[in-house]
Amino acid sequence: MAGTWIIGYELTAQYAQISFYDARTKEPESADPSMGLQKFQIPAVLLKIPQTEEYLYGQEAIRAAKAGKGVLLDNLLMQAVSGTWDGEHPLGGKAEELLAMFIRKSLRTVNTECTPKDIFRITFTLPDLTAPILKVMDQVLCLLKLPRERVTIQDYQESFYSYVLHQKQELRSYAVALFHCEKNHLDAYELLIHKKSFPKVVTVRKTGELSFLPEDKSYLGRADDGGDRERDMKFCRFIEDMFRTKIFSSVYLTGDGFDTSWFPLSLKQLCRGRRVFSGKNLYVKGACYRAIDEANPKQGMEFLYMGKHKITHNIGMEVLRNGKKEYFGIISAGVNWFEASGSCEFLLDRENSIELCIQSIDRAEVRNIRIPLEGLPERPNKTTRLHLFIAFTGVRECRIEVRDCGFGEWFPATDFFWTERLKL
Amino acid sequence: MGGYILCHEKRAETPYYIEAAGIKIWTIEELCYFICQYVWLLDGSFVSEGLCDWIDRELKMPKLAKLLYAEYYHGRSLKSFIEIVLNNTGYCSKQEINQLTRLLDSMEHVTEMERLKQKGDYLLKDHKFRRAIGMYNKILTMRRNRELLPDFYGRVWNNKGMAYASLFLFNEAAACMKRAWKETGTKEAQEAYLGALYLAVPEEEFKSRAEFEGLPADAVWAFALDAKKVIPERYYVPPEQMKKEYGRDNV
Repeated sequence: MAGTWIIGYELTAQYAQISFYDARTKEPESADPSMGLQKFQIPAVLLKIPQTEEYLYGQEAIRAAKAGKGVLLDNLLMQAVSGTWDGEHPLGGKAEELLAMFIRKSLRTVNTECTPKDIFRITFTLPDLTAPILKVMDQVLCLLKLPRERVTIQDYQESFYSYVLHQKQELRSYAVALFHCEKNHLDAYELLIHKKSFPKVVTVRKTGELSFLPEDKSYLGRADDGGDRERDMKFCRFIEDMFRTKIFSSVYLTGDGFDTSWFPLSLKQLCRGRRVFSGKNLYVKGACYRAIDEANPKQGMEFLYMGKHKITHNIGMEVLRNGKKEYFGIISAGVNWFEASGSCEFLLDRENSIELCIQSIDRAEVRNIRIPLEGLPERPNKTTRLHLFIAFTGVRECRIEVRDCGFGEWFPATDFFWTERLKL
Repeated sequence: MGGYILCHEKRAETPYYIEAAGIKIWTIEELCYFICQYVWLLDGSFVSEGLCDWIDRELKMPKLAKLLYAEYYHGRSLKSFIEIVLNNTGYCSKQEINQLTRLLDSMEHVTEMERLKQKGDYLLKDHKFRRAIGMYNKILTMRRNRELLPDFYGRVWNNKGMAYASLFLFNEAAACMKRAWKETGTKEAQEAYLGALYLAVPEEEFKSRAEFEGLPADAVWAFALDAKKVIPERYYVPPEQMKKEYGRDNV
């Protein structure tokens, strides 16, 4: 079974969820650590059994901690991001190592033989992607020995997009709403498909948020009828406002906040003329759909998701390829900035600078920038071979590197190196 | 108008050794450069199965390799083999390819001696001195061809002398330059001979030796005066360094 698993992995500070591609149903299936109880969330905790090198994870670790068998290591992701544990944790290794260990162990819930090396494609989905989180994820992937080309990382909104795109077409004929509720907070998003462009551009926009914290905080957190009714009313008004101007084909409810049935009125409002789905594995399934798509890349794309991490510009060069002048794309728009990098090698033909062509995704803005190559070694024409590398350091900022590759035995490579940051 | 030639992605892990020039290449662009710049070194031995294999396996260019294999097995000419390489790589423009093929056509009317001299000159330019001397020796051992230009042999001797001088073998260089001078009798050849002699013999013996060799006294005196200006002092090169230099240039 080497390199066959296609996995979606949801990771938050509190828990993880795993979904895997089932070849029989050709759909993502959720890994169930509860042995049939359908509790898909795995608490993101570890527990080291004292005087041994053994670790427990998830529910087992919580049970052991309750029985006083050790100290629980929780909040693994945030500890790694914030670096709270300075260096090594007294009860374990570094935070990233513990997180990697947790991921490795939790993958066993898919199958006892599922290890990182058996994974063909994996998509991690996290609530949000910040530079420190991405840095930690890079370290964790290194520790897991997961090759970067087999991994994709995306935020919840992109997972929502991936999920919706794999549902029946009628469920996305118009806009699609997503409500994510956690305890006393609710976020609302709308997914829109701009059908006039090609590929069809899809956006997910936050339309609003709702706080259920009552002004009278005396009954905060109490699940009494009065509190629920007020929350329901508030949510209902919010829905009315949101649905007033747009037609929504379907609605998705996710998050721990929808666990209890505190919203009968709102539900009635939601179900009026549209389909409503509720569940906790929307993001992880979305991630798995993405992994499936990555595993079976299709020619030409129908949809293009433009999220807040997506690059909005194409970067390329006018080159001679097999004697014909053509545009050569180095960076393609629509890719997450932290995954966007590209390179090429070319020979200078009566040139002493590099001209890059930067084009916005809607082709409204095209500009050429010229990179002077001062200090370039002097050589006969067509013998200066340069390597150009572009990587993104933010959604609108990239780093350009140029180095001399030399030309055979005639002209060995020099230490010529040029780098600059470019704002798009 | 300038531009950028996109390189083929694959770089060979094992280089291809071009026997005729004594150089290694790693990319298809280097192969094209060699073809364009070393036309005179190209001969039947260049069209080989080894080169086709290298393009196929190392550079992962099966389409080009297939065309070249066909050329090789049909025993077609060097010209068509080269045309296929250049037309399928984009290194040269159509105009450059036409120029090159015209040159290849004209090379067919060139004598073996001239071809050998061109090869020797390439090797000399590439600091492959021993190989260059070998090429010149081949010409000089062949039967003298009276159809060649009168200064042909003079130029061969001169270049052989330059190769020797580059190897710090000044006595041999002086002997070659003397032959070049005898062949051509030009002022340039005379100066080259004086130069080689100046480096070959101790400074105090230079004038007497030059006059003994039959060089005109005024030219010797003028050269000695100029040489002192150009070479202010003779410095000692330790044998170790000399060996190192010799080794580096003659790989």
